[in-house]
Amino acid sequence: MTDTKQKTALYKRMLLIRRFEEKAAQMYGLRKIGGFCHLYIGQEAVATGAIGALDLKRDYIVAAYRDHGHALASGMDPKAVMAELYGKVTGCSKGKGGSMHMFDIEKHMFGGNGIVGSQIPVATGVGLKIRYREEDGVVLCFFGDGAIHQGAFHESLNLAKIYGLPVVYICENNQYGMGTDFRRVSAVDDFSVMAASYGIEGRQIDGMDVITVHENVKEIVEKARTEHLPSLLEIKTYRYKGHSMSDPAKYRTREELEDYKERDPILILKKGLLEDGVQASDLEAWDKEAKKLSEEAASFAEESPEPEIEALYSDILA
Amino acid sequence: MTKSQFLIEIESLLENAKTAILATVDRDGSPRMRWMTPAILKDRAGAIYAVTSLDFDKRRQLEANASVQWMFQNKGLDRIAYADGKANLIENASMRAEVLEEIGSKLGVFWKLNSDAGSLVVVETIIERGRSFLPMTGESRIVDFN
Repeated sequence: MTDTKQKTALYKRMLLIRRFEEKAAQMYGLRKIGGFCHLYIGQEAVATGAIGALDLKRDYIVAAYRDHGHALASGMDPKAVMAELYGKVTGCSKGKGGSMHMFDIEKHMFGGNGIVGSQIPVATGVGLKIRYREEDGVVLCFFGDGAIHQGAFHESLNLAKIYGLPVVYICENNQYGMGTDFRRVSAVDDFSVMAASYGIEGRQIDGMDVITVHENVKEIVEKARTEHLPSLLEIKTYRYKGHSMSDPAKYRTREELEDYKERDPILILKKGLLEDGVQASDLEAWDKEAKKLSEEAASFAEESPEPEIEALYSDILA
Repeated sequence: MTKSQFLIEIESLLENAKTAILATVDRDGSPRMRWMTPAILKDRAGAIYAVTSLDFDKRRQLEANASVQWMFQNKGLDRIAYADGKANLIENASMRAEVLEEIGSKLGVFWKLNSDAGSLVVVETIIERGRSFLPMTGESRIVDFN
């Protein structure tokens, strides 16, 4: 059972991600950030709830290209994350990776991977390392619904099962892979059933409720740790219901618009905390703190130097 | 002209000009226009998306009267499209992210006018009627979205 103290910690982490991402969006618009900038706004409950269930001294995270939230949820310094977005030398990948390559070896955050689905075999490899060295860690592997139909996903789940690798595969289903409604490209609506093909446990989880995510992942991580069992979680996040050619757009009622506003993982937990007796003034203070940290991260990135031109020739591994 | 052809025309005009004009009606019935940076989103056919701030007048105007008109024109000034419709103001976290990813890199002026990164709201215009107009030939084509 998640107590108020734990809920508070999860709430603060989600707020930090939200305020950081809003700042990043602003800086992207002001051309301080180049390239792509995939935002995690609205999905904060997934990374926060799941990573909050880990012991990052022994466990690992491998994420996809929408990785700012996972980086912050792992405890990475917001300044290093923002500086990476700016392409500055103080960034966590020395400014060479940008938005899609957040990485921190000490926090066991192994990216941030730019190629869709490429992180799934990487995470499986980290799981193999844990088994080979007889460690007791677990790997959380995050990917989107656009990656689940790739061959590498299916090969990885098969390997994880036959080698008994402690990897929790987490599909963050936001229902739109690169703008395509997942129902147009998927044979099944419920991705968790794919686990049965490999004889492992599959669960479908509400990704808007951070407590539900946290408690489910905690339970499944413990199984992975003690029984060396991989698993597949489909964590459904919400995207405002889209229109399609067969579902024509319509003018929304005020009730619908209010409902869309309420579908926010931060607002959902905020209500829970108020019901637990947390003061509204405390919630406001935490929000101010999250905004301050995000402002400071942007100032730090702004003031940091660019990488030297010679840096083009360092860290080249191939 | 079909709905799809009209939406493709808007996308093409936006690719060329980046911006469009949004006309609203204020509380005393007077027209109000401003330049905006809108987008058509994949899989959200029949609507135009843009962002505004909760602090801007536009929000109050749209809450009082949802009727709007968009005007899109290319830089060569020889292709114009008009979209009439009703606007929703959507305060939803995921929707904000989706729209920001589409048009975020073009919002420099917006952020100069609005320094509060948290006050952003999505303007979704449900298109009711579209008109494509070629001023050099006088050719006009209309499509009904209802």
